[in-house]
Amino acid sequence: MSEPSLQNPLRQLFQPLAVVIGFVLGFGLLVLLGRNSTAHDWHRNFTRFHPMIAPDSMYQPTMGEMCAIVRARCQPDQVLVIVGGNSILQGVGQPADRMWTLRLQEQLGSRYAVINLAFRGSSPTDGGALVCEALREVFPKQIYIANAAPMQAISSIGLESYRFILLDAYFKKMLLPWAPRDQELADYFASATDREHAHEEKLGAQLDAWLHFRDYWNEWSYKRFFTFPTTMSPTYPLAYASRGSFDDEETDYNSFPFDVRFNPKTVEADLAITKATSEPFYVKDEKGNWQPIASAHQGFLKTLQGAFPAPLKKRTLILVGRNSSFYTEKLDQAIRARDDLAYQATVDGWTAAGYESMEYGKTFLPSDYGDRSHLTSEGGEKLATVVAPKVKAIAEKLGYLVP
Amino acid sequence: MPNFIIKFINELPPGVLKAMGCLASLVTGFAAAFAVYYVLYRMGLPSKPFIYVAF
Amino acid sequence: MIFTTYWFLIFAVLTTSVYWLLPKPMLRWPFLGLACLVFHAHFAGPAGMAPIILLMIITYLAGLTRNKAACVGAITICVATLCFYKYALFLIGAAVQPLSESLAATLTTKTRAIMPGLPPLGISFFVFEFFHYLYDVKKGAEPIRNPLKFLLFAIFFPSLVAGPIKRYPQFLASLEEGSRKPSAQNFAEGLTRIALGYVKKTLIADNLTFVLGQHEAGFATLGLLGRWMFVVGLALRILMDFSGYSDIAIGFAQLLGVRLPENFNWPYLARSIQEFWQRWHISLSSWIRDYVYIPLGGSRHGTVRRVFNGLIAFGLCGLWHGPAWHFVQWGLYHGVGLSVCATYRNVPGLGTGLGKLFDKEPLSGWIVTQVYVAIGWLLFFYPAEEAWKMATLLFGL
Repeated sequence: MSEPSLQNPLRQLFQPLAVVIGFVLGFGLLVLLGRNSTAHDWHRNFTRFHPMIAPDSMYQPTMGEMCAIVRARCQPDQVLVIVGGNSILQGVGQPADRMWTLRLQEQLGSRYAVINLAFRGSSPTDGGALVCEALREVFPKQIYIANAAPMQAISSIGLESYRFILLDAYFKKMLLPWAPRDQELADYFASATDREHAHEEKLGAQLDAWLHFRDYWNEWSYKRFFTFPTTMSPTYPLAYASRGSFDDEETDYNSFPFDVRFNPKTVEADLAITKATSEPFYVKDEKGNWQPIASAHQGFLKTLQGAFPAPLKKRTLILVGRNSSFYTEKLDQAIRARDDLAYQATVDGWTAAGYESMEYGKTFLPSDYGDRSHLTSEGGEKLATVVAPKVKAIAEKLGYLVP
Repeated sequence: MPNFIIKFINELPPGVLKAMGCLASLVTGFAAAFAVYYVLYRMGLPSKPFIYVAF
Repeated sequence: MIFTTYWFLIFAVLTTSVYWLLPKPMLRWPFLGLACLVFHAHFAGPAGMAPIILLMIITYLAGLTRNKAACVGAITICVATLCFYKYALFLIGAAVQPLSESLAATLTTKTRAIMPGLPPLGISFFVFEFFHYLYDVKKGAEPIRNPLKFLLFAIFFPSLVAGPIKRYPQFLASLEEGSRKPSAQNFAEGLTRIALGYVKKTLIADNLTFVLGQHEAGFATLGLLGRWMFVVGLALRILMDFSGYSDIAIGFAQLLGVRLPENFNWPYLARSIQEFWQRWHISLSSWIRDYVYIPLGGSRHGTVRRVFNGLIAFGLCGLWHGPAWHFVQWGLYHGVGLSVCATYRNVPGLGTGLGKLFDKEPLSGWIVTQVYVAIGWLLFFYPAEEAWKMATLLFGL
């Protein structure tokens, strides 16, 4: 509290120069500690970025932290497989011990190291994509897997909610020079709706590149205690518990009866979404055949050119997932035919742009899904079964398996 | 400040007082640095958490 | 919150560094003036800068004339500007709407069209500082002749946004003394003060804000202890928030060698409402005393007039905090408290008895004061009806 004057005894003790030296030395020491904090991996039992170690609960993983997670789990002679993308590939609805990425690891074997760096609500170019890129020299034998919706336009700078990861990587010079991304980032700063916020984010990332406070305080938050309550942990003592003390307690879709998962309220809304999946991209001609809407297709294809840096495209596998057959079976034949065209065009588009791509889910059962798009553990196992051969094929194609 | 503390400080030998003061001042400076370092982290976090909605 | 932005931190560090690295002390003031303008332009924008620049020029020129009419005219312009930007819509709602809804609606639309989205940055603070300057000059004090000194007084970045409200003689004396050379004492105290301020703001106040937000809606369902803890949390939050901000402002000023007035002095140790206002937002309460209460006559014209003056002063004090009736009510609430505090000992029997009790047992005075202040915070944060409901729930009614 403000005191108009320090009492005499305290004034005798107080040595201004020592305070300033203590401040400077202390700050310097903290910066050093921050820089070194990501030399080791502090995520003891890492499975994936579950909500208590994700932006959902105000925990923003840093690039250094994520790279440390990968370095601790992949040997130099292994093929690194980073799974990015959104909640579908994160395995929402699959408990930690039955995540699809564990099944993928089993199917690929010990020559591969599969690490789940997907983030809920993210895009293919967020999070895991950047970690994979940052580790391109440490782990040159790498494959990046993400998912995208049919004909989804992809931004090279990802989504705003995960922009902090891109800025972290960008200002710590972890990324490949890539002009389309630099331009898109510059455009974002010039025209963001909330320019002040965008510039604050940029300044913060620039400062952090020198001072490493986010690494330091993330380690603190993970190992010691969190410093403020959030909506995910609003009450004492959980609010201040170390984030490492929280387990991955993902809900198991299988614990919900089928008719609870697919109840009338959600069914109506999700059916409408399913019906509209390929609607923006095709129009019927006079003969009743589906014709591509040129502008939509061109718009989609254009984004793929700049989405990922050119050298990384060939090691990027984009999965395009079908909606649950619980819904697609309810669609009429014409819409299903349109969907088939859209999915094929999407996979073809990614492939033509230099990526690897495949669709999944057309033959999956309704019980393989927990909702319209997320898979149960069984669905995840099936996904792993169809993805594993593709990953192996990519590894072989890129010469990763040559001893 | 309680009188016994004032008395204790006033009765310390000058050398000890200076050393204690130096140490206390260094610690104060470090504490201030620690606080500022924390604030740098805290002010960069969004005011609202990311809210995930499955779709 | 400006102090909790990276831009501000980088700006403050760079400004302080360049300020002291300048080889000639006489370069420091122009540089600081420029830096303050850059600060203001960044956060206020050109539209936000126009009012302060204009009022600055008017105030400076009026002060130079030392002419009473000019000073009064400039005071009027300053106050009118504050009223327009901050209170126009409120006044339309309070004064016009009861008479004519349609006229009020028309005036509101027209006013909104010409008004910026937010009031100019720091308008409540710089208008009060200009008022103080002009009033003192009108009464015979020496005006600031050097335009650079006036600029620095008007737009000093650490105190521009949220105070403390400066007095120009002390500010200029401190600036002159402190800008000669850097002092380890100032750096040490400044850094410590800044750190303390940030801890209060980000660690304590922001955490409390979240916790209070979680329990606000369910206040009525909390137990009696829970409700009192909520109110204690509310009181603690505003103190940490406000005093934290003041600490940061005072700390950054001190890094530049400038001493700003203290704003808080352990207010929750006060044993009377009078003492509370000598410890809470000191720069504002002393301003209200010097430029509202005393000019109205203060306590020089008997008890009734004293009470009346106190109510006016504190009603305005409340209104200063925001354009809403509950702020006025909060101010009047404290005006009533102060009046009672000043006069209760004159009441034979109960008054003298209470006086003896408070003298003998200071703790009892402290309890009564803090309960009174705590209930006042309900009025500050919530509309009167809701505040009253919450207050009754505090006593299990």
